[in-house]
Amino acid sequence: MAILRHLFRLFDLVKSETSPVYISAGIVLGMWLGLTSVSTLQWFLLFFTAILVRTNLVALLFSVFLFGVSAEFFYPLFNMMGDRVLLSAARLHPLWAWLYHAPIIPFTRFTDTTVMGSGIFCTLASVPVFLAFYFFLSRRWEYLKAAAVYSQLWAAWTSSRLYQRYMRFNEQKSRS
Amino acid sequence: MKEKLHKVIRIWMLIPLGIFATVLIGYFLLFFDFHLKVRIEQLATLLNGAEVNIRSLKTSFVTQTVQIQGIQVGHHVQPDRNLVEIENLSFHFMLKPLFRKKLIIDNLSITGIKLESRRGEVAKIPTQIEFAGVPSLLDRVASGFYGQIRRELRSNPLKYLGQLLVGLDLDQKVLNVQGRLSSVKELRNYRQHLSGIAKEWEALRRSTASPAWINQTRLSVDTISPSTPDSRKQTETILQDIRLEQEKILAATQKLHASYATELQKITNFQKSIVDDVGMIKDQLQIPKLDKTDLTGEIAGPELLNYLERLTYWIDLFRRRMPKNLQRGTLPIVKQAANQGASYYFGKSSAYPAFLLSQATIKSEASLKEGYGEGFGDVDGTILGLTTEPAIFGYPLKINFRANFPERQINGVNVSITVDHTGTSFVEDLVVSIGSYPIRNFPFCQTGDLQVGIASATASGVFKAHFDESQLNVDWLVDFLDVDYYLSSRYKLVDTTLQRILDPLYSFTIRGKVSGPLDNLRLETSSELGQQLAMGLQREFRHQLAAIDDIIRKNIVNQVDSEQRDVVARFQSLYDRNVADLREAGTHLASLERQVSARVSAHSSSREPVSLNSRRKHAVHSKK
Repeated sequence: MAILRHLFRLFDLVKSETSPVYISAGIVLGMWLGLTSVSTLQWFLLFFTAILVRTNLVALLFSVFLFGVSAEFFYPLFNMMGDRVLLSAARLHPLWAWLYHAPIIPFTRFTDTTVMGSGIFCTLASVPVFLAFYFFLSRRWEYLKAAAVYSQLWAAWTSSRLYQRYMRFNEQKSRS
Repeated sequence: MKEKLHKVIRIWMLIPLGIFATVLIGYFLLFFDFHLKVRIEQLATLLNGAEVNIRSLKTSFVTQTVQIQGIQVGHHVQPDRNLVEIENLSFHFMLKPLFRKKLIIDNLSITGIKLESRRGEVAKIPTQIEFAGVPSLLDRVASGFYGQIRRELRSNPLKYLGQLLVGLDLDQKVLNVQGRLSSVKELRNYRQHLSGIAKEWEALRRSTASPAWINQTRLSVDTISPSTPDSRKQTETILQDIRLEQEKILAATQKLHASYATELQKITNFQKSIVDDVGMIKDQLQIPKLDKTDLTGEIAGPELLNYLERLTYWIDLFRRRMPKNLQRGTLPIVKQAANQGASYYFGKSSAYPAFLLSQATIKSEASLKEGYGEGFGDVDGTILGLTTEPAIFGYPLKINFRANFPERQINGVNVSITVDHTGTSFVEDLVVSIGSYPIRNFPFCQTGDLQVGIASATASGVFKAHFDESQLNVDWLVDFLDVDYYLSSRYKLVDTTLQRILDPLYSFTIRGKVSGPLDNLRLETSSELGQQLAMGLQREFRHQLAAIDDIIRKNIVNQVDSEQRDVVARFQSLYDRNVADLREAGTHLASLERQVSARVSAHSSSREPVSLNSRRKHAVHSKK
C-alpha cells in the first residue's frame, strides 16, 4: 500500500501543471537538457532547475528524450557554430581567455565546440520554441483535452483497476 | 509572496535535493578513492597496453595530498612480470586551481622503483585501445607504416640458405613463373605501342609538303606568265607558301626528335624491369639474396624497427595530449580533439594550464636488506613541466634520470627527454645511453630449418632520436661484448659455415640511422657481424648462386634480351626512315625556295623571266 501511495503521488505530479505555459516551459527545458552535454556544470544546474521549478513533467521528459535521441544529428551544426564563435572570431579570444581562467566557468566546458554550439542553438531557439508551443496549445487546448479524453488509451486507463484505486485514494485524501 | 513562490517552485523538492547532497558527500568520503583508483588503472592499462594495478590510493582535500602505493605496470611480453613497479608515489596539489577546473601538482615524489619484478597475477592485455581524435600521420606511423622500410629490408637471407642445398628443379620452376614477368609483358605492350608511334610519326610526315606538292608548285611557278599584271604577286604568294612548308617541316622534325627521346627513355627502363624480374624470380624460388655487402638490416632490422614503432607510439601520444600552439593572433591557443568536435584552450599571462606537474622527483635506492625483494634499482631523476597545454605554460617538458639495476645487470643508464610543444611545431628529443645491458636470446633467424642468434651478450651504447614535426632523425651505436651464439640447422654445410663465420665475432658494433620525412623513411645500418656474414655466405655459396643465375639467365634473361633487341631495332629503323623523309622534303623545298626567290628578284628588276627549267639555255645564250 505504501508503494501504491508513492505511485499515486507520482500520478499527481504528472498530471499537475497542465496549462500551456507549464507545458511549453517543460518542452524548452527538455530541449536544453537533451541537447546539452551531461558532463557540464550547466546540465546539472538545468537538472536541478527541472526538479525545482514547476513545469509539466510529461512534456519535460518527452522533450528530453526527443532532443537527446536526435542530438547526434545536430553535432555537425553545433561543431561549426562552436568553431566559428571560439576560433574564427578573434576579437572574442581575450574574453574566452578570461573566462577559461576564471573560477567555476571552466566547468561549463564552454571551450568545447559542441557545448558552445548547443548553448548558442538552445539560447536562440528557446523563445521561438516556447512561443510556438504556447500559442499552439492555447488555441487547441480544449480540442486536445477532449481528444485525449475520448481516445482509446484514456478509455483503457480509466477502466483499469489501478485507476479505480487511484480515484478512491484521491477521494480519501480530499475527505481528510 | 509565498503563494507566488509556490506557483513557480516545488518547495517540497528541497528535501530530496538535501538527501542527494548528503549522499554526494558520503560518496566523496567513502567511495571516491576506490573509484579514482579503478579509473586510473583503466586509463593506465590503455596507455601501457598491458594491465596496470594499484594497491592503494588515498586522497585528502584537507592536506591536499594524494598517495598511491604499489603501482605495477604489466609487461607486454612476459605476463608474469612487471615492466616496472613503483612502491610509492605521492604528490601535493593546489586547492584553489581546482575551482578553475585545473589540477596543479607542484611536487611529486616517486620512490622504490623495481624492474621486471614478479607479479601475483598474470597481467591482462586490453583488447581495445581507443583515444579521441582523428588519426594523425603518426597514428599511421605507429600502427605499422614502417612497412616501407620493412619491405626494403627484403626477407632475411638466412631463412632460405637451405634452399641452395636441396636441388631446386629450377628449370621447371622458372618456366612456371615466366608468364608473370613484368619485363616480358612490358615489351609485348610496347610492341603494340610502337604501332601507335609509327602512325603518329607517319601523320607528322604527311602534315608536311609531299613530293607531289613540291612538283606541282614548281610547275605552277613555271606557268606564271611575266606579262600578266599580277605575276609578281602570284610568285610572292607561292614563295610564302614554300616558306610556310619549310617551317612545318622544321616543327615536325623537332617533334620527331622529342618523341624519339621520350620513347628511348622508356626502352632504357626495360633494363630496370629485367633486374626487378630477376629479383622477383629469386623471391618466388626462395633463393636467398646474398648480393649485399652487409646483412645487418635483414638480421637485426625488424627488431630495431619494433623498438622504433614503440617509441613512435609514445611520441604520437605526447602530440595528441600535449598539442602545439595554433598561433591565431597574440594569445596562445591549444586545440585538443574531443569525442565530438574539438576543445580550444586559451592562454593568458601568468595563468595555469588545465593540468600541470611542475616538478617531480624520482628517487630510489637499491638495497640488499632482506625483504626488499628483487629488481630494485638506484634511480635519480626529475620531471619538469608536464602539462596538457605546453603553449600556455610556456616551457618544454624535460625528463632526466640516471639509473642502475645491479641485480638485473643494467648499469649506467642515462636518459634525457625534451618535448617542446610550446611553439607552432612539434619538436621532441631523446638521448639514451646505457653502460651495460644483458642481451638474452636475440634471434637472427628462427625457422624450422635454422635457428641462430645471440644466446647471451653484454651490450652498451647510445641511442639518439630527434622528431621535428614530420621529420625524423634517429642514430644508434650499440657495442656487443662477450657474445655467445646459439646455432642449430638441418643442413650440416649451413651449420659449419655459420659456425666458422660467427666464432671469431665475440664482439661487434651495430651502427644505424633512420632519417627522412615520416612517410618516406630511410634505414642505414651496418656492423662487423653483418659484413662478415655477407662475405662468408657469398664465399661459401658462390657456386650454387652462380648456377642459379645461369639457369635464370638461360630461361628468362636471354629471351627477354632478344625481344628487347628486336623492339629496339624496329624502333630505330622507324625513326631513321621518318627522319630521312623529312630531310629529303626539306632539301627539295630549300632548292625550290632559292629558285622562286630568284624569280621574284627578276620580276622586281624587270628582266626577262627565266623558266625554272631553261636556266642553262639562258646562260648559254648570254655568253654568246
